[in-house]
Amino acid sequence: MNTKTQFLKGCARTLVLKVISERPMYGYEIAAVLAKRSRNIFELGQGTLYPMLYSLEKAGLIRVAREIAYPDSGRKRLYYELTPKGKEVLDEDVGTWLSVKRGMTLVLKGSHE
Amino acid sequence: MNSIEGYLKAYIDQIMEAADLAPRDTRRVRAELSDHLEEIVAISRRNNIPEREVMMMVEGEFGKPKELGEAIARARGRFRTYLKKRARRWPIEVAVALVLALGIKAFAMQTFRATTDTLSPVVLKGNRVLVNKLTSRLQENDVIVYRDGDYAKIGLVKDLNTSQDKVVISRNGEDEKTIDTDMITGRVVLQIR
Repeated sequence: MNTKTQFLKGCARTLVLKVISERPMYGYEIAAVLAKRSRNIFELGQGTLYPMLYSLEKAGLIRVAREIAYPDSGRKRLYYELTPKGKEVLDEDVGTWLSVKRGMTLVLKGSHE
Repeated sequence: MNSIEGYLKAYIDQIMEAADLAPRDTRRVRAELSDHLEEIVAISRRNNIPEREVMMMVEGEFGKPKELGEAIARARGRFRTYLKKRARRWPIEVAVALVLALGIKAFAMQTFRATTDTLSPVVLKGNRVLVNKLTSRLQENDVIVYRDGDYAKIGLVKDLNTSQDKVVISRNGEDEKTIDTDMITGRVVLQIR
């Protein structure tokens, strides 16, 4: 995995939490909203999306809020929401990101003097 | 089943085989991934994207089924999945243990069911306990079953007064009481859900 991918993956977790914090969403929706709002900078391949959602669930940061079953086709739509712990982690991540952004901006800007 | 449905089913089958989850987890993940894939197909159809391209898109976005399956297994927790699979076998092992217990019931062991919260959380309501009737020596904090009139009751040993063959026991919501050792059926050695 190259460095850009690694970096984006770390950010993606924060953004997934953010997007879910606004309203309960299901997998396809999360990926679509993320891609749209980030103007395709964050295109979470569904290959990354579900392992990420399942780890977040296992870590207790998100949970299934409700499910819609389609009995004739065996499909199920699971809507995820943030848990209180997830909300805490999101707030922390956002704080970290804002510091990083500020620090990076200052130094990168400074080096052009 | 037309070609794309067949393709999607085979694709998910491969993912689930690589993930190798416990049955309930498998059902959930399969249902969820099916929903996602079907949504991709529905939207592609609305946009008149040819089937062949849809299949390429799916693989491009979801990745290789084996890798995805393994990533999902890691995310759900391989060890937890292993434990859940083991847990499904326990009822059989418990049944065997109970049969053995009942088989030697008259002689050495007997099972009782805790019908109340009297000894919660040490013994939970609804659980079965296996009692060793041949215990000679009791200790503080042993859980015992004793006969009180027509009833078998459970208690926690608080104090032993061996010289007088008496034992002090406690039960939730009751004062500590002293019982004679000859009222005691035996000591709880195992609790089964």
